Amino acid sequence: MSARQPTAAIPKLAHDRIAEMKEHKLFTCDLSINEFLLLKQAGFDPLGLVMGTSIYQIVPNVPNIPRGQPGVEMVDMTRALYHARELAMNRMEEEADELGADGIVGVRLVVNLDGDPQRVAWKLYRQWQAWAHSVGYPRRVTNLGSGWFYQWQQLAWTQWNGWLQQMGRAWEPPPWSLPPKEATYALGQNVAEFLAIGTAVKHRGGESFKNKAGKPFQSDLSGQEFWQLVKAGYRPVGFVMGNCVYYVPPWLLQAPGSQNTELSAYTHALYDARELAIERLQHEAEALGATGIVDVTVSEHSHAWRQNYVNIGNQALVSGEMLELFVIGTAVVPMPDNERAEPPKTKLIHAITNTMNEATIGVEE
Amino acid sequence: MNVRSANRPVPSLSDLSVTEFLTLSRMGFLPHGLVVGASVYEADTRGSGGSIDLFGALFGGGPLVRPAQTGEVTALSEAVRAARTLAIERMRKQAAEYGADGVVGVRLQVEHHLWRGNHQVAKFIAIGTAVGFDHDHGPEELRGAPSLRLQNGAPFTSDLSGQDFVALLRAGFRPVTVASGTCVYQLNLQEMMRYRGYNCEVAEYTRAFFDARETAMQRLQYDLFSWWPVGHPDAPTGIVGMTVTESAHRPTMMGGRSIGGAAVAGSTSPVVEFTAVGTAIVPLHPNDPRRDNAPVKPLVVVPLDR
Repeated sequence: MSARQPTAAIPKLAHDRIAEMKEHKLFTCDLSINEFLLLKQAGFDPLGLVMGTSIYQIVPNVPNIPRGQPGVEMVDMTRALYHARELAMNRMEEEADELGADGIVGVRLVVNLDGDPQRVAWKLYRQWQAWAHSVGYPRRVTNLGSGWFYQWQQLAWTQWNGWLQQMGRAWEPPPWSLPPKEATYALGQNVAEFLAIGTAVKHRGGESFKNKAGKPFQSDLSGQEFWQLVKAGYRPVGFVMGNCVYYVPPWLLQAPGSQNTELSAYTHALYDARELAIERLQHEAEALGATGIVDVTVSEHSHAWRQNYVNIGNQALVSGEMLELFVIGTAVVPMPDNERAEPPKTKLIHAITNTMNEATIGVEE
Repeated sequence: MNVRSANRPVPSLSDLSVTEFLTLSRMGFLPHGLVVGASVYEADTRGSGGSIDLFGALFGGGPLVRPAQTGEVTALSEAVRAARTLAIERMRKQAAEYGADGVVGVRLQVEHHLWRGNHQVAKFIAIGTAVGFDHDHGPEELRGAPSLRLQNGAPFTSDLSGQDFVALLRAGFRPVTVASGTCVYQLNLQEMMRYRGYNCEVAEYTRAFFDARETAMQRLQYDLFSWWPVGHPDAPTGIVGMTVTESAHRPTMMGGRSIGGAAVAGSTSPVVEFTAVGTAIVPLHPNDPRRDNAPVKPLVVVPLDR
């Protein structure tokens, strides 16, 4: 899992768009103005918004392990989840390569889970429940338990039609069937979209910032952070990631007695998963010849693998816990003139609101 | 409509924050009023031969859902594009009536409504603050600067905040227009059938989503290229703050009134709209006094709340 594999090509439309951009000398970017200006100041020009996507089906196969045994890594799923992201990132890289970019900044790697019908239905189910309670149906009627997915619509429509009749109103659609504000569409169970979007950039002086593999570097650093890094004498060589899907059987999730105690086997399983993921991340960074990794985030996902959205806690005690440890960061190397670089002076200010986060580096007037 | 004279300052509406107002006024720009453009569209495709069955079938009345091919819904793409362009154009017209140089802080909003009689209606709104250079009170050195209006005299539009607008001017660029491109795609859920039980990429959907996003971005560019061909003084050299968002055009779980077992997931075809939005910019003249030739001096700030 160390070296990324060559993958399916980007569609023809992407080639067309890039060719048009080159012909008309138009750049596109999703940078804010501050990011845009700082990037220019750091000696880079934005070339274009690049993206790659992959819609992937990931089917959980709960392993059948004998009672009393510890958890295991689910290698197939680890590979599938890695492959899905890799496909998206490689396609984005391909677009950037075609633009002639040195790198991609501000990469966002998004997992869009809205494709799961149960997840979509759950929102509607909750909306119907809220309406039913507001017009006086008791909770014992509206709480359908674990069979909700197959039963709720029947009951919901019976209630709605009954209520309309009672109120003497003409037929109208119920509130939960109205078009929602945000995107909801079901693709299929266990189907998720993996999307990578970023801005391709090129060094104005013609200096090549491509990485060891001859590809544009990728980084999830914002324009501000990128500027800071370059000013301090480092340059990114690539986006590196590692993941590990781990299955924790149900008997590790329960304490033996009723006293306060550490679930040591569970802790151990989490440790294993995390260490495996970080180790893979390091391997990738070493393959790129990086001397360090910045902005590493370790996240724990359970994605949409639960069979049912009801009683999530109890469900885990029956079927076990399936979680993904996902680690991602930007690999960096010092630039040759690192010694002479002067790191930007830092000012500490007290940020009053959270909105200050957006302007970590303000452009001085 | 109430046309105001160009004599400033008189009180006028704006949705600028205090910081935005002050930043703008230091550059000599004052708000001329809140400008709104709206366009209401009914997206009914029942009369189009039945191949695309969208909103009609959903809320009763129309033919039953027939599994649609994965692909673009051209009629809807066109409708959305026309509606959004109209909304922006109306907003621009109102700004022109106010004698403004342009509009900042434009927000593009879409509201979906279901009107009595099963009319699925989408309301597109463009809203922003018209601003203009104040010759009597603006800074002395900027009074000779050329207007930021487009070559045909129309005001510019941009979704930049007041601060961003000023930072952009200082850096030697001016906004031209809010650009948008749309592509509405329909997915055939039957295609999922052959993927039962595998860990693999769903190639059809990937292709559909990829194509749809690329098309949205390409249309955004295409409009700009056709309005301002190469060599035109307003021909944009770049687009900043571009985003591609998606929104679903119909709830998936509701198959109309016949709701028995038919509406279980997988029986309806999702319709997803992809929209690319950004602000097109062009460089200012090299001798423009608004251009601040000193390099940008960033101030590194470490917020203490994270």
